[in-house]
Amino acid sequence: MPDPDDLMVRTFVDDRLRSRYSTTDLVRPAARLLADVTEFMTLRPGDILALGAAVPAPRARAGQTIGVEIEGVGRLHNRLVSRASVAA
Amino acid sequence: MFLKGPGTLIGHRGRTRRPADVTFMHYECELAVVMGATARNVGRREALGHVAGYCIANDYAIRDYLENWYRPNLRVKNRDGATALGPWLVDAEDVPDVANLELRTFVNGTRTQLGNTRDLVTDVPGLIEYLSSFMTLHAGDVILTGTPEGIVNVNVGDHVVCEIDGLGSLHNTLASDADFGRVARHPGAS
Repeated sequence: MPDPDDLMVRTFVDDRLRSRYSTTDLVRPAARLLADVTEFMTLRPGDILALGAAVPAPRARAGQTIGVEIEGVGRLHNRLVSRASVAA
Repeated sequence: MFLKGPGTLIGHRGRTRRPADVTFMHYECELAVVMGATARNVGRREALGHVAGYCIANDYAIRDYLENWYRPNLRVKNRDGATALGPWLVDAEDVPDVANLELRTFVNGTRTQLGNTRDLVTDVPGLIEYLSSFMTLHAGDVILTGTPEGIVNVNVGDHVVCEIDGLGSLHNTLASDADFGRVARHPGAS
């Protein structure tokens, strides 16, 4: 399991690298965020806590594919579509 | 508008923790709309037909922790047991006019808040139309519709009763960190 506070995060739009940052630069380390949140809110197996992202974040349009790659964790692909192209 | 997780809910006659290190923790008596059917892109004319019923919510908030008025953070609005819901579900057909219900809050028997659902900034059909335009609502989802003026700080030991015409009275008591087996935090502590 990689150290969540020392991971490079890269964002690709249509396979072009558009941003990169390290989780080292986030406001709170993962353990600190978990401690802060669980002080008032119970987290249970399966709950997901997002750690935040660097700004500015890249913009994209309908039709483009977003890839978020985190070293040691993998690459998540998602495609943006227009409302008109989605069945009601 | 913002989302709340299920862990924040507590039922009728519950106890809610008031942290020692805050100066302003207040109730918020609100009409709660319980969805009875899937709603996606529903117009306001059809909106109420998707409602199972109504109940009362007390959406406690801690002003000291608030960082963004329009996007309240988890620490304000997702606290364990800090959103009272109840006392029971009233079927939609038993609420003939949801737009004309008086809301009242009492702290230790003294009325501190008074309002009416006719004064909602966005009415219930409008809320369902707005939300269902970008997020699918499902049966069991609950929409809290806002609170009138008259919110005041409450302290440990206070008994808070939120009433809405036709929906009963929702009771809650404020309890301390120690009552929850927690160590009190004090201002300035890391």
